[in-house]
Amino acid sequence: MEMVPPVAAGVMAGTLARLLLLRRDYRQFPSYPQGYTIHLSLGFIAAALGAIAPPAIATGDLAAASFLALAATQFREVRAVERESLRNMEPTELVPRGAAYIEGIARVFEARNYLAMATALLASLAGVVGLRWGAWWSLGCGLATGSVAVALVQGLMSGQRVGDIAIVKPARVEFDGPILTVAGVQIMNVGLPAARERYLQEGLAVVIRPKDANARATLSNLGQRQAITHEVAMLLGIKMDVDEPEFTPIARQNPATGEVVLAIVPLLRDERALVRAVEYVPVLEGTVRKPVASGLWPPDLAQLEGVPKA
Amino acid sequence: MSSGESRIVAVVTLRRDVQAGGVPVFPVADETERDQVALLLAKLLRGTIHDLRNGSYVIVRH
Repeated sequence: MEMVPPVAAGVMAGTLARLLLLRRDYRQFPSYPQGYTIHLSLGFIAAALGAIAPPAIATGDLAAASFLALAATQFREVRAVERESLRNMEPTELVPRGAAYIEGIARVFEARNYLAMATALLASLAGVVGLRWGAWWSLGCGLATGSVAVALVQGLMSGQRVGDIAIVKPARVEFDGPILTVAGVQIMNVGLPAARERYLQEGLAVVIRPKDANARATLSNLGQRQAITHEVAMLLGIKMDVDEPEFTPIARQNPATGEVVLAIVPLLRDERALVRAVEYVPVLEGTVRKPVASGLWPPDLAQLEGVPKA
Repeated sequence: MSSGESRIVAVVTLRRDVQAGGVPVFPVADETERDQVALLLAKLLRGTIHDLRNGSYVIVRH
């Protein structure tokens, strides 16, 4: 009975951490009650597993701590399930997420369970330490440590966004004959004059200019570019249907400068909103490249021309 | 972005000298008819219309 306060504090802190990480997800995924239920339940289980480890060790039951290993297997499963369900939905998306983005999302979901577990473990550990002064002190210590851990988790898990590694600017949609062109980069051949007219009348475009050679390498990843088009189409809406593939947004890179351009016919025709949507796209973990860190690049090439040093 | 290769599924052309070779060719009389036929075919075949700028449109499934 005496171990109830630390375990309770741990479970509460861990579940709270998972809940907050769930709420922070703006990507409309999961945006339905079933998704919330699944992830909160898993978060609760993770928290419970984390929370029982310190009391188990404190009472000399070392075998119980090995349950943490079981949890790891369980959460790898979470990643597989997440990946599979997103992949199954991929053909139903007008603008697909792309394999890299799906992998990124799946990884995040797995990591969040570990975070819930770690938060619970820390809170419970503090609770066990606090036990010597009584049950209420134990609960208090546990919850205080838990809150600090939750705050840390929130700060640590916000990764980079495209706005951090690149400068996004509005651009003009132009045609070179039938070729859709933005800032001198040819994107695709739009054959039908009516479709070209729609691009000119209702289309918007942006230039995404990488801040350095690392950012350039990251943006050249096709998965990262697909994630950008998916997010933009999701956030601004897109004026197309399945039988109009010429309006599928495509992000193309200028091989000479590393700039990535994108043209889209959005429902919300607002340049500022488009720029903000692009800036808000997460930099996918799997696409991050850091060639400059190798030391092979001379500083003047590592820093792209005309981009002020941060 | 789809996996797999792009494939030409039809050609709509103003030219009379285009020989059919593995791909259906639809000869048309003028540019208005070309646009109409190309649009109808593209919708049917879920393809994209590309202009080759020699009087021909190709409909490609990407």
